[in-house]
Amino acid sequence: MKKKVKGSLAITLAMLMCIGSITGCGKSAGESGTAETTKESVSEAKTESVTEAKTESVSEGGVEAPEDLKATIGITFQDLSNEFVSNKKKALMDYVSKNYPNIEVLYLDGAGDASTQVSQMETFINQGVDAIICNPQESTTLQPSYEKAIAAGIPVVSDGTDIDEKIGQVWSSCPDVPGAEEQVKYLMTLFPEDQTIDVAIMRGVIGHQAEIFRSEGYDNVMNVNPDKFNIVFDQTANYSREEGLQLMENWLSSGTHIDAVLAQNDEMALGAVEAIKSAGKEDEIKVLGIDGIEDAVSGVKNGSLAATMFQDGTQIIINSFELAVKSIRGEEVSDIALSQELCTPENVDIYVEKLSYLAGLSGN
Amino acid sequence: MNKTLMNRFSLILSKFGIIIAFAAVFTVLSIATPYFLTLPNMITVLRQISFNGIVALGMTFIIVTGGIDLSVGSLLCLAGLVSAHYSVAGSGSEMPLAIAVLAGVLVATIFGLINGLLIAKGKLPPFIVTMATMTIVRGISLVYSDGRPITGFNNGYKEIGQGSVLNIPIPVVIFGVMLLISVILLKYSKFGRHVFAVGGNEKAAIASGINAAKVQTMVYVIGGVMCGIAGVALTSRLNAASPQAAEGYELDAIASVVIGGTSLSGGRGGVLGTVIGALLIGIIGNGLDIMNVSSYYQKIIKGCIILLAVFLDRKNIKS
Amino acid sequence: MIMKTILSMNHICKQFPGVKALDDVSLEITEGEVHALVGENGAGKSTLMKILAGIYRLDSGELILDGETVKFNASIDALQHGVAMVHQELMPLMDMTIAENIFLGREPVIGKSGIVNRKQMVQDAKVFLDKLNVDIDPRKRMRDLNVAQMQLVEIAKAISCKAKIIIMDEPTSAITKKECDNLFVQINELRKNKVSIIYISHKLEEIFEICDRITVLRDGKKISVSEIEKTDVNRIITEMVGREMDMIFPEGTAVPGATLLEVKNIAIKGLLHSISFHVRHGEILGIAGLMGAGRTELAECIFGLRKRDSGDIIKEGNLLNIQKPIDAIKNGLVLVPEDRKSTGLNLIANVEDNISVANLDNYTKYGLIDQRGIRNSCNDMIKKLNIKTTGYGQIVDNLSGGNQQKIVFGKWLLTDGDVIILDDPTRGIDVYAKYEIYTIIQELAKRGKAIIMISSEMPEIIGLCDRVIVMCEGKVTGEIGKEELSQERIMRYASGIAT
Repeated sequence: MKKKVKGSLAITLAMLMCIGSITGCGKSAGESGTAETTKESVSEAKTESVTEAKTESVSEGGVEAPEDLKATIGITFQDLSNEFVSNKKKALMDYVSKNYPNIEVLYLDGAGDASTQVSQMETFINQGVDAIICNPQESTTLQPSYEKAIAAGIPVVSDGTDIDEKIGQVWSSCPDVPGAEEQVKYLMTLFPEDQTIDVAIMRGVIGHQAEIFRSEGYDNVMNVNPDKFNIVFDQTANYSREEGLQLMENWLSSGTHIDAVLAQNDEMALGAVEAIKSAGKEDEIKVLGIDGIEDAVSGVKNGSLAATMFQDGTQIIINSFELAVKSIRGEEVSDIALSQELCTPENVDIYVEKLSYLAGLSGN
Repeated sequence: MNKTLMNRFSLILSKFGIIIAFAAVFTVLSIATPYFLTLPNMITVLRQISFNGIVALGMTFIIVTGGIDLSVGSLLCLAGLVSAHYSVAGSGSEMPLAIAVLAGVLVATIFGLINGLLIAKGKLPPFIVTMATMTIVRGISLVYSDGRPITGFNNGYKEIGQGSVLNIPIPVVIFGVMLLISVILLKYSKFGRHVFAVGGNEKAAIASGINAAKVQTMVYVIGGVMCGIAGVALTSRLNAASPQAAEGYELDAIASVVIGGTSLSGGRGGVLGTVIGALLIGIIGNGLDIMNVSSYYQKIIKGCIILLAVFLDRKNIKS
Repeated sequence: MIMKTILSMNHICKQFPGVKALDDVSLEITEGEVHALVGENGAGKSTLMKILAGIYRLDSGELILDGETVKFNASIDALQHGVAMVHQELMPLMDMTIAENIFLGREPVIGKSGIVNRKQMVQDAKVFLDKLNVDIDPRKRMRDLNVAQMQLVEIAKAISCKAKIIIMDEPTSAITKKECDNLFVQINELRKNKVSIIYISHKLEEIFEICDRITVLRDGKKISVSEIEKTDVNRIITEMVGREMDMIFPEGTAVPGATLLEVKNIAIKGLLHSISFHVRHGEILGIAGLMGAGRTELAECIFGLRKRDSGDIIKEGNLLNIQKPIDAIKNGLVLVPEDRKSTGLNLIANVEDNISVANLDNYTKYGLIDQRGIRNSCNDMIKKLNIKTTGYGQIVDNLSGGNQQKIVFGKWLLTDGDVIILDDPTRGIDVYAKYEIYTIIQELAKRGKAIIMISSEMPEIIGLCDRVIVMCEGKVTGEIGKEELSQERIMRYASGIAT
């Protein structure tokens, strides 16, 4: 018995370590965007997004009243154990129940596994749903499923992340590259023009879709402003608050001077904040995050976080849903890109309010 | 005569090998960067390893009996969530600190007890049982927290993970106290003897009058208590309780125990070795971060050290 | 007729950490002889044979097999050169069949495909089994065989490897007399076929029955080699232990008193049928019988290691409630088990831990252990039982069988139990240590303890016991007083033959 335990333990240790290093527990649902769609849709989206989508849904002047539309829409979410994703789901269900009483939404949890989502899409196709919204865990595995659905005449909307090839689906996104660019640009404004900023970068899980795009965003800005930045540290904390904390502690021990910490998600940023607090260096080091989770927004409000990039998950999913409805009604649809919004001490109250709406929603 | 000298040397190496390894790594890091061997950094490292250290203490008892516990991360997470729930400043559910902490520790202890009963009385393999508990408790954490982190703690709760006593961080103090209790329990008490006897040969232990089932249950309860305490401390330190916290914690805990010289087949080992194992893992992460070495190399190095430790462990048993 | 020397082991030396196992030992085996190798535990017999079988490597010396000098780096080398070993502790692959075990690593394959030709394998296995008069289906799993049968399969395996030399290590320690006779028949057959056998055993009577010559080892040195007809048991024993032993059994001076323990109607469905007996203060009660008679199961019941369906255990008139070993121990009943390695000792712990483990309560104050108290008691016990060890801290796995057994004794003596159940207490132990253990048993009886001794060795039972009950297939078939004790009588009861 003991020998068996030892044997299987060794194998599992190895497996767990492999899994751990690959996925890093995917703590933040980063949304990704492609470079092409962003440039054009950013400007449109900025105006379209917040106001238009909402008004569209409430007072659409279509042929039949949208409230009467009867349909079944299937949606597979990336990972409902993730707060950002589950907030989306809650917001969607609330929106549907208030505005589309005759539409049935079937939602499934991909639990962080793309192959699970593949089978879920097959289920939807077999059930003959009227439209599918897919929030993919990753951008390659689901392509065949998309092809099958579209071949079966079911419109597919990509929510958040899209698959690599454009094969007839529509995309509701919150592009990461421009979002990250804006984060870095804002950082530049926090320091005098002639000063070189000693910046420490905290990356997410290397290879994760969002990490790739956010790093690209950083590169875009930093490469054209080489004298402005001095990158003193560049490591991953795997989107985890605890790792962010530990990494920051160790960086502080190194004696290297740090002006600011650029974190690719809020969890890591908040971890860094704790370490900085313990060291008593809140006034010396600025921390910036991405995502706009509740904790981070509070952090911006109380000054511990310099800024975060707010991803309006509620709006993203509503956009996806509206695209699905339009597709069912045969109307023309095109991608919607919703910008990540810079949340700073000056405008933080807007986001506090947006989040309080989410907090008011019930679990299921 | 030469052979006897060699034999004695190899005996010392196997007994003190872990200390020698630790000293070697420590020295190398101290030379590689001047920022490693500073008082603030040493305190930082101690605080960093305290959480894993506490969990690893419990894991030591379990592994000495020849068992294993994969559920530690989940238990830790749930304990953090429960204690945090009762410590949100100004909320309707806020409770006195002692009760909040007790609630968290109790939850982890109960699941430790469930582990123990299923393994000792139900005679189910520890690997499977604790893997199942790991998943179940993680699910319970998500349901309990509705997938959302809990923040906004009152000052009392914050103090546990973020405060210090005479410049020593409280988590380190807690770790020290737990270490002392563990040493007394494992090395100097009757219960400790029973733990080793059951781990060395369960049948012989039963035939000597020891209630092996009770001993096996108790070690998982101890594991649960340790997870509970570590959970409260870590949650306080992070200033947030998250249902995704501490995933993969079991790896570091087991690694600390194995590197420290406790044998996975049971019956042999000790908590002091575990502490050194935890310290070794801690200083490697800390030192390499200071030197800006990528975390991938860190993973490779950590994995290699575990392999080395298991290899030395086997050699030890053979001799 | 000049006998051809098939094997010469010349000036073999082997050192282990802390002990010189073999010191310039030479052994010479002729073709077709049955050569006994005897000596106390620790004398070096096992080590010497393991070197021959390729399991250990010699430090210095040479091996000459059939005229050519050979060097074995692994047991497969020895096997290829025709040296096979049937170990004392058989470890066949339990879940594989007889045929698979015999041809392990040498399975006949179909052409060049690498697929095992099962039919061929079973046929070939049958051939070898028939040669040994073993009538079992080669497709049966090893798990379903008894020890004697497993042993014969091992021998079949050796023959199938065309072994020229077969080393048998304690071949009769776990089989019955009838099976032993069959074994000797096989050995004679092998002898006729010019196969040499090196026969390691403690059972001198057997050796004198079957062997041609006998080599005596003591403390890693070769003491003598003689032809069987030219020597006798006493001389051999003297050579083994280094002193005259005219008495193999110590004189028992205990006088049995009042009944101490009474066992009534113990039964387990299918195993034990209403066993009753009693034992008195200062009495040594023997329980004899063949393997499978149920003696060990009976002992386990009394000690609480095995659940019984019915039966009472009464001590000094009080009915005892024994469900687990701790109940038995608290009531002064102790058991020295049949298999010390699996049930008697914690092999990876040291002497001190093993001796103290059943008695920790007496050394515990406020939950903490009185380390010094344990150490003192342990050292006392080492002296008292004359345990050969480097000290309380030595790991028990490194001790010889006899000393390990003494440690088990020591553990129970420490608890000061007054009913001591012994299950095959001298199995696999050398003559000198046996004598010491007999002395201990006699002494315990003298102090008024009741001893229940299960044994399969006739001389032991006849030499030590005051009274003997005999079991056969789960029943008590007879009770014999000291004066009427004889091997034949015991054997008759044990075989279930009515007098």
